[in-house]
Amino acid sequence: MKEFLPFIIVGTVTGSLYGLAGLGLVLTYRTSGVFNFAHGALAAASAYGFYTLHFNMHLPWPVALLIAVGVFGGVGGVLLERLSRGLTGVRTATIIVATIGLLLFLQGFLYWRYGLARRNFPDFLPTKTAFTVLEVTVSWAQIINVAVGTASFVALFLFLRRTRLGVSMRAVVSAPDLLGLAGTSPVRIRVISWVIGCSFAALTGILISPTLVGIDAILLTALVVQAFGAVAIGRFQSLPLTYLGGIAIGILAAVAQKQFLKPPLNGISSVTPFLVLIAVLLITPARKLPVGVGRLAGTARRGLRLPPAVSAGAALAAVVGLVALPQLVGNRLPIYGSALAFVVLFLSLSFLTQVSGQISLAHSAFLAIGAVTMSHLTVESYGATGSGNLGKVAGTGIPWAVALLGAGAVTALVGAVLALPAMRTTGVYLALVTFGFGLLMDNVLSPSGLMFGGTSQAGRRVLRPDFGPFHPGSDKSVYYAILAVVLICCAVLSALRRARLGRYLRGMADSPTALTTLGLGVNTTRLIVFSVSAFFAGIAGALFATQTSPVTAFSFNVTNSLLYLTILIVAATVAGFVTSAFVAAALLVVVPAYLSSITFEVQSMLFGLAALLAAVVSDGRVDWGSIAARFRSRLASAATASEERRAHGPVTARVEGAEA
Amino acid sequence: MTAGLEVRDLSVRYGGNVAVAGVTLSAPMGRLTGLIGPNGAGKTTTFNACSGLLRPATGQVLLFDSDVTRLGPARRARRKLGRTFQRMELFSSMTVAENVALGREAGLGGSNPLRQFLASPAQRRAVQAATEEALDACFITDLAHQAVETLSTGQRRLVELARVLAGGFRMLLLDEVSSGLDHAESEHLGGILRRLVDERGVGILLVEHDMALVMAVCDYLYVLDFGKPIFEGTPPEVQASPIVRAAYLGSEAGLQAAGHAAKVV
Repeated sequence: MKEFLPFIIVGTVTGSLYGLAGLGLVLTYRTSGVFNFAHGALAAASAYGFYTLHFNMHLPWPVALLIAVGVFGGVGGVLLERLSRGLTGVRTATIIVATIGLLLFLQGFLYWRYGLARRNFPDFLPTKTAFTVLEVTVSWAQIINVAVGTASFVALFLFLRRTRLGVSMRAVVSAPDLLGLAGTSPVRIRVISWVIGCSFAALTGILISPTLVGIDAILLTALVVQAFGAVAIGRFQSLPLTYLGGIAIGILAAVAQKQFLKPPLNGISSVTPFLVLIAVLLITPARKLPVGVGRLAGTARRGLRLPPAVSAGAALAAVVGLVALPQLVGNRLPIYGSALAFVVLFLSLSFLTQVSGQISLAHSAFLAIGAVTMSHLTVESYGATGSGNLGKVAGTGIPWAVALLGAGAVTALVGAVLALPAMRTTGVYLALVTFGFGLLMDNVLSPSGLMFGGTSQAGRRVLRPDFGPFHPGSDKSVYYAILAVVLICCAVLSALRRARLGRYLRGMADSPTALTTLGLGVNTTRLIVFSVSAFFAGIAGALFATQTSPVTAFSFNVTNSLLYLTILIVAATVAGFVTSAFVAAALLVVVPAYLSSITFEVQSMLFGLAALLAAVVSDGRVDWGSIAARFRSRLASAATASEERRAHGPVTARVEGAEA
Repeated sequence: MTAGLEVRDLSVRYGGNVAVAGVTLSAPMGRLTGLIGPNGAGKTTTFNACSGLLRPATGQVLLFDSDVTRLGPARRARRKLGRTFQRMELFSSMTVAENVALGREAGLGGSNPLRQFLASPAQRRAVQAATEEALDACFITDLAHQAVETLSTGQRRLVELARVLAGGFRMLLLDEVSSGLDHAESEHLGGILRRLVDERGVGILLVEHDMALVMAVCDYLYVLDFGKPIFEGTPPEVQASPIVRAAYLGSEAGLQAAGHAAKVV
């Protein structure tokens, strides 16, 4: 017991802070129905704000703390309430993407403003020893942290139970319209709850930073994301259970840290909350969880129906352009090879999210599994790592195309596993489970010897294909091999979308209940769509690895999954199934390659903001069909008007004059 | 009369609350059976238990003489039990024809995952034929290519009915099919239901608030109140029953008006 005590104490301190962040999350989720994925990013922003005020501008810490919490809690809360109101009645996926967009924007902004390096965040609270238990010292800072957490919890609890405002806040959760009728403005109540929730996040960010070995934006965001586990223990609704859950998770994570020292299991500590979250969501029946404001059903969107000849012509022109591309871009060809690999990834993500209405924040994990499998299947041994490109690598003799299918198949099996939570939960809960899987991948599976662990810095390699008349292994050979696969994937997925499976998926997106009572076992359909999507994501990973070999774990970070989803949603706002995949891949890969000012952090900011706007303005869908129809009818009426003018010239002229 | 749907001593609980207790009813083929009762009587709960969306606490559900209590909703549907919803569950991003076609195609996916990918040409033709016939039976052929979003409530009810007809279900559970319809539309709907039963021999269990429609088209009625069965009989018997009147107290005028309407029809 004694050896565990230091970990239990540290765990209680951080756990109390997770609990604090979790309380804010539950409060805002329950009053607005919008689950704020950016909760952690807000905490990170506030920590950086405090850093500037206290360590750079030398304001006393209480002043700096008040300003940071005031700005990020107060102003942030008001803005987020506006955002959440703008999201009422849109699709659940859109809501998720909106707050993820905010997360990416804040994270990108922090990297852009403060740089990528970790910063030392010194203690600002007194660290003198307060007392000693069984030879373990407890500092004042630790006591203050737990005290702040507990006091905030007690204050919030009493506020909700005892005050008039608190009672109205609880009423907002159950019947906002009724409250409005009774003369209390639900909007005002929601603003207050967002301000409280965001202040809790801001406070958590500031208090948790000194306990870390230096801060950086992703680390901080991920840390407060630990609060998701606490929230899950509170079943997304109970405040006391959330707070206690936070402490429990803090202790569990700290003990896991002591128990699992060697890689890859040492990553378990940081994913503990998500293991808890996944367990809770798999056990808890869906009806026991609160529902968000999101709408499950899709809406009719008439795409721009071009005449078949025109669209076939456009497709042909695009293919010809892609075939001719190597003659035009010279030594930048590898950029286009990677972009084409991402076309397949976006197609697979679009098939899952846009067609079937499911959601996945684990696609970069699929990409990684595809890449690694491809490497295992094509490369027998690495030999001595020399400076030469591929000379030292011994191949397995398995043909490239066969290995590609193998990579897809292995990834499809993993995708099938992720379909299990999809059978139990939907919407924000499914997003959380898949996100948890992504984190598990990053922290535990990815560093294992089977994937990226054990290989040298050089990463995993893939043998290049010999394709067509080109020099074996040359850039052109790789490009055309990838292009051929991409065109096949486009054709297959488009065909599936139009076939029976596509109809089932659309039906499932609109009303799984109806589809079930009409005789379809939708769980099988969910299994199929996750497997199919993962299969193609695995192919994409294999293509990407072929192009950029060697690949490292860095390319498959879980944050990338968030970025992929937001870029896809932005692209899908303006374009159809296949086109949006090409647009998204161009935005992700090609544009930054040409504009050196578009760095990772700028990209993150831009797409974060764009996704936010797309969500609020148009529910992530621009209805080109109706815009075209409106335009046509205006043209037609203008035409009739001009005809009438010709027929009854003077009369119309008089009317026009009167109007003027 | 051949057995259709039979419910024996059904009870459903939500947490600690008993929503339905000891309901027994029988909806044979070739008969239009009504299930009525005031708001909150447990009608929709009974439906959900019959179609497999809810697990009953006790009791049995029999479909064509075989016990389906333990089967999920999809498997019951593949045994020809179809239903509509009080709060309509249409495929809102699709056209009328696509909705109706999926009514048939959903059942063809079966339990073999491979059959969920593609339709065989023969199946495609069967779906096409069933769709056209169902649209025709509900008189909405002219709406076929409209998006369901653009339709009125009444038209949407007909789409949901056509969808369940296209599915080829032999036993239909219809939940509030006439709500949102005007008088003429309701009468029209009553005609469609009557023809289904008389000409095709399907069985229908109907939950309905429109007493005029219930009294006019149903052959036999079950009355629920507070989750318990309080009366059963033919429409005239139900109208004459003091127990039923007491249950509907406050809407007694409605029941009388309904009786009047029934005589007119």
